[in-house]
Amino acid sequence: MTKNWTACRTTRMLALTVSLGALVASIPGLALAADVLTGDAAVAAAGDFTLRVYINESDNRLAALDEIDAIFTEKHPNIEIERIEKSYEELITSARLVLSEPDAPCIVQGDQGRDTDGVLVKANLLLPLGAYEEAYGWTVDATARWSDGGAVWGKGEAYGVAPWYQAVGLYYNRDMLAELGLEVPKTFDELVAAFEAAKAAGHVPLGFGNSEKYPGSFIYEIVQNQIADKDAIRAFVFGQDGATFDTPENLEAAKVLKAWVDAGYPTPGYDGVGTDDAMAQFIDGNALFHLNGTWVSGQIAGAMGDHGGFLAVPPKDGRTHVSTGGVSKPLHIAANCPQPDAAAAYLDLILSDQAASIFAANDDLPAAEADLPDDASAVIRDIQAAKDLLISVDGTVPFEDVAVSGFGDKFFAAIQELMAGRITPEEFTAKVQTAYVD
Amino acid sequence: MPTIAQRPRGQDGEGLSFSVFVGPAILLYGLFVMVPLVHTVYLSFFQWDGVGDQVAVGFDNYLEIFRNGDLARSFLHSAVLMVIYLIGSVGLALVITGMISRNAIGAARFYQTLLFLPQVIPSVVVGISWRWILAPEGLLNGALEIVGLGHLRRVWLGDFDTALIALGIVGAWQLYGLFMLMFIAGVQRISPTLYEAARLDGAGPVLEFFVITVPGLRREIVMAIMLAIIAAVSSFDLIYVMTRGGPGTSTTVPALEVYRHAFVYAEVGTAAALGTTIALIVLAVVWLVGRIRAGDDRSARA
Repeated sequence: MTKNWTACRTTRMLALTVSLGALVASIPGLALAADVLTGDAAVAAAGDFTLRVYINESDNRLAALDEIDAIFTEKHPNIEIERIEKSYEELITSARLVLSEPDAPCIVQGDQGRDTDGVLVKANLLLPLGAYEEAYGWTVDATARWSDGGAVWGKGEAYGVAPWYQAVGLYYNRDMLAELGLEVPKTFDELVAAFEAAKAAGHVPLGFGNSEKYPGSFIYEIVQNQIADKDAIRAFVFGQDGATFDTPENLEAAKVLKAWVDAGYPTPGYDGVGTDDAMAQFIDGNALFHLNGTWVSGQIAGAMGDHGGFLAVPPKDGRTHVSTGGVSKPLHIAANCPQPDAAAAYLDLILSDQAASIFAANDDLPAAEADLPDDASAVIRDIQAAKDLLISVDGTVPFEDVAVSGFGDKFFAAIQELMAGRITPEEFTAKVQTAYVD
Repeated sequence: MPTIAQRPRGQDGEGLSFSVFVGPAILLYGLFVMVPLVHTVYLSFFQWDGVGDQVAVGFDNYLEIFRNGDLARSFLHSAVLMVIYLIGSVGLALVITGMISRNAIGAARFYQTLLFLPQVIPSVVVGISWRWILAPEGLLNGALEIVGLGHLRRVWLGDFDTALIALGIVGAWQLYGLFMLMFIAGVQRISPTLYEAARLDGAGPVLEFFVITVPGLRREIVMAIMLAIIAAVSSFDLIYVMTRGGPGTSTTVPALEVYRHAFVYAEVGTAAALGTTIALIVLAVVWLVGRIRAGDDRSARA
């Protein structure tokens, strides 16, 4: 199977090189780096082509993509874009199969981590994007880099790009904060003081729903990020030599989280509350803060407008902001895509500042610089500010649950056990470490 | 009940028409059930991420099920669900049958329809509705408060001690409608003269239920027990919607692990081994229950 693919790819590359040679000879001034075509010429060379995009994104993103697709196809009438929209679960469970088909969609979204992208890279299903990265000057996140045929993560060849930024943080109820006479917390201690004030006033301090189990990683990580070294977290996720979970900092974070639970900060009965239900309760005004990702910005901004806000969890004294996040689920070009140059030109448009402004106008958070529309709500402005802040201090660390194949659910389960007092903080770090090396 | 082998041979043409009618079903069954089943068993001896190379590992995937505490425990959770399903769904269906089969036909039909409703609601809807009912501020806790049992309030699905039992009860609630219909259909077959005789002899509703209804429904009950066991061992949808196996690993079941290993963790071999194990357990249970039933039939004829 692997051999076949290599043969296929070699043939395609040969054909490409040959046709490129002819093109270079005939068209003067062609933008060219390595052996790929870029820009308008790349799209024109594709002839009549249907570019299929296999993707899972929220409604506001898809609406922005509609606008961006229209710009692309208007400029390049020979291209038709057909988007295949999937639910997240469906995308993740089917990406492998879809990419193995002979007529796979040219652009397929994956997800960070060894369970998804790692498998795709190992099976040679993705086109390495190094040549395009260089030609177009893309910024590629470490989470989309792989080497040694998928064995090493976090460095090496670029395999995907994502136009969206994401971070875990705290939404807050601006009115409730004012009513409690509080400012937006600027340090970790001020945040805990705000929790206390909300609790004393009879509000839920930290709206949090965990029946899906994965939000548990966020509540641990927002504490851990303020205590552990960010490079240690990155080394852990990317599986660098000597990386371990069993550290004094992670133990301290587990103790702080347990203390939060004992103090009654998270929504009572959080393990029996869905994360969407917790969000609905926050929007209804029952909680001061709500723990979630920037990916629900559209829903919260739509429902709360200027009454809501967002902040990256503030650091302890003497430290800088660190938050879990980074770029979102990367978009890949299929290894057997017949027109990779055209697909890359499309990705370049999605990554552009022009597209960024369209995403921003749809209550979204693009990775590129974007001009916010004048009527952007306070939530969106806060999120944009949090992103700028996090980028300026190199403060995003990758999600830990995707560190090792099969690790996520054990990590989530251990956090639930820690929070429920079923295991001690010491047992927690040992248990997670066991799941990590297992 | 005579088996096919004991049936007197028909005329020669019967064999041909038999294969014409059964052929398509056998073909489809073979293509969509038997082939994937055999393929699953085959895959269970390999380590495979779903797209790359397959590495033969012998029985390692099966040994992993026993070595890995979480996987082994998931079978234990299935056993708990089995007990709840048997008592809850089969027991409840029997009791309801006993109650409404004594009613006038019109009323019986009304209750029958009403009580059958859970069966026709899609599992995801059942799961989400019950998640709300069992939520910390949900209907159940509210009701407990109103009747003065506020001290019993808990986070039913978020509590390590109650989550599995709560899931079992919801599952039983979803299942009993089907069994009730089977039982009510079975009751129609019991001769009314038996009930009449019992009443003339002065039997009350309870005695009548145990002496006439339950023995008369033996076949349906055995069938219901089989279905309940299969449902318990292969349950997935409700648990996926309601707890994802949490809190901790307190409600993981084998089918949930099959899904995770095959589609999330890219460990197709382990998933296939788990799936094969589930199938073997179901087969064993059905065989056992079938033996009991055969024994019953023999003694009934004797």
